Amino acid sequence: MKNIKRPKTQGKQKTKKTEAQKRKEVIKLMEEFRQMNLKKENPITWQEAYRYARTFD
Amino acid sequence: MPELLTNQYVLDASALLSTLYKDERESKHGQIITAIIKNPKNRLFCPSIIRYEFGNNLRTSLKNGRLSFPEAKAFIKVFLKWPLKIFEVDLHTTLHLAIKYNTTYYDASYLSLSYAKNAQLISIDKNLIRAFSSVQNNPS
Repeated sequence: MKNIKRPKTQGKQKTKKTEAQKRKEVIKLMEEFRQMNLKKENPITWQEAYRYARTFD
Repeated sequence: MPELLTNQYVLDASALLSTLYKDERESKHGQIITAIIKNPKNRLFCPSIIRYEFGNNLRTSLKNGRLSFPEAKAFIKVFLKWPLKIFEVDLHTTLHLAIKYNTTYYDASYLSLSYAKNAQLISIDKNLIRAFSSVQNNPS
């Protein structure tokens, strides 16, 4: 059976995200994470997180 | 050190963590660094040690019951989306900088990458900022 090539215009077109869109998306994710932490009774501070990051035991 | 390129930044763990977590002193560092990340013209670099620093942060936060597994997964999701270009640093240069400026090898990896990329180092760690100023004022 012969393969039938579809014209390039058919089907779902992929749109490439611009760098600005990608950055906006990551800022949104960061904000979601930040809010999740702030909802805690005792939110983690960056100073505490940095201490954990730099303690190689 | 040659003149720094204005839109190239090396970000350390303290800078990146300040954009996600609360500040004990309620400073505006996190907001300023978030604005740097948001600007698509800015190119952001990190040495490969950042992966292990963040991994260690998550491991200890989980062990101490400060973070749940879904929260750790959310952190990794953010990390993977950050527009960071991660580089291996030159081992000779890094050792030279660690000795010359009396820093840990970990800190020197940030200095080394800033030097290689002519990039501004963004950090909230006073020791690292001090060392970076020394590199700028006293190159080679």
